[in-house]
Amino acid sequence: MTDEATGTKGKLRFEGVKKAFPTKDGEYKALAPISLDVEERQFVALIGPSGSGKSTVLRLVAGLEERTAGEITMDGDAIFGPGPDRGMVFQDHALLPWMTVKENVLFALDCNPDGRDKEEREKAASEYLDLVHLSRFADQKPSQLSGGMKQRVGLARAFALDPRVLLMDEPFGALDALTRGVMQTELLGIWEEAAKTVLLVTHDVDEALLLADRIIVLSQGPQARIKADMNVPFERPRDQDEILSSKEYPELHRELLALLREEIAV
Amino acid sequence: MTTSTKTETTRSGGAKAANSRTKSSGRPIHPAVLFAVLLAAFLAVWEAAVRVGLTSSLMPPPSLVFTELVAALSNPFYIASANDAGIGIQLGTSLLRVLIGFGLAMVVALPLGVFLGTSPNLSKAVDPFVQVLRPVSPLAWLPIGLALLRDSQQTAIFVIFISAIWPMLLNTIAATNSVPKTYLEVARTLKASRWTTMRRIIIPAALPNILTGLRVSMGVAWLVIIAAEMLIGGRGIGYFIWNQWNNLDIANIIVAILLVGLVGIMLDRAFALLERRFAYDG
Repeated sequence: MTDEATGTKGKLRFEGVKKAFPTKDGEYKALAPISLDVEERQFVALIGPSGSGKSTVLRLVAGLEERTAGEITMDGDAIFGPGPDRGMVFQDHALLPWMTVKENVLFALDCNPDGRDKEEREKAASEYLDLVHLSRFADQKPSQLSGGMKQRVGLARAFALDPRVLLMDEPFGALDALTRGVMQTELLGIWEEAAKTVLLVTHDVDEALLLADRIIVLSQGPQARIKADMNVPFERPRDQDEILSSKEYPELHRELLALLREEIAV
Repeated sequence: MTTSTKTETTRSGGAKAANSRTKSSGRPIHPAVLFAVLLAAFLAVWEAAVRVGLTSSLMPPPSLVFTELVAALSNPFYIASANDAGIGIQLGTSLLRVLIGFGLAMVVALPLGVFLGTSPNLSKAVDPFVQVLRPVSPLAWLPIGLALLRDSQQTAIFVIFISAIWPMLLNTIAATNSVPKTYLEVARTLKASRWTTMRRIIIPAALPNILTGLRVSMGVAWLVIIAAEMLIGGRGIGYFIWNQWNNLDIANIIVAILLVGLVGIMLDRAFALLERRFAYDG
């Protein structure tokens, strides 16, 4: 599933990226100039208080928002508008309710056939459903699935186009704690095999520590900036129990929480 | 029948019907039973009022209406002359006019509505036209139809077209305009073409509300055809009713009213089924 043909794996570079939104009371400057390099195949968690613009950063990479200033490049090419080389997993799963589970995944492939005929696309859709263990539910409508299953379909849809970068906007935020844990472990498994660059927006410190190679802490907006840039030292493949019982874990957890608390107190 | 419906009620609708329990038996009354009782009481009072002479001498008793209904339904499709045809022919003629006018309205309103719904500025520019024209009784268009088309048959269809177009147009604009932003963002991130986005996102997302608009339009069209045909003449259930008034045959007017109501229910049910078929749980 890795993108062997091109050899590029989704190296992201932000240079002085600013974003302002027009409002009734004038311009809202969401992001101060932000500069950041994300290595290929790196798993980066963006964490920060609500209103820190972490979703904005993600939407800028997705091409759903236009930057006000600065440059974002992927593997050297400036990003303008959305594209199938960046897969998006939405916060509220954003499955199309009139399509079956399989049709939702197939839709991504139909929009980007890449030379594959209908039969090959059907086969690929089935494979990606299999990857998230949902083959049995292929012909059901999303409304018949649980929250965790819906988000797995969202993952399958994002993976189906084999993007260089996977963008995840609080993908498990709406799930109960138990389901969230299962989904995190599953994502860890899929990602370690596929090894794509990931930008994960989350407000969950445990989630960031479990999944990410690197955690970027954003400050409270307006003019949100990068407050801390922290490497997560745990070895891969990761095991949740090992991480939780490691001696670095409580220290990192405390540090991150302290950074976040400062922002909320302001 | 009574016993079976009562057991049905106690099993399924017991809680709901609990406050309509009768004092004597303490058992709930099934709505169907209540309906039959109310209908019988209404017919009895009507029959008695006519027999005693409380009503105008033109008012027929329900027994006569029933006889006329049976007579009308026993030979609904005969054609004797231009005006003298079976009730089925009259209803069918009206229904055909409604379907043609409604179909033409769909051909114009659905593409236009989708187009306007996806272009907010244009939709605002067109809104004043719609707002001024929508509250006008479609019958006011009848002389314009006659002047433009110089044909009574075509004018009836024109009036139906005008009356049916507003609800479906407004609903289609609102439905396409309110497609959830996330669905459109999914399409954007997948680089779906404009046509694919239209066909596989906007239209299926808007379809339930569009169908609601069609259902309302059909209801209006079926209301308007009666009045339009009364003015235009020729064949059709509207003119049939007007003709029976000229013959002072109130019993047949009531028969026509009943059948118009039944056809109206069937049209509405048909659209309700379509709505349910294309509904989705967002």
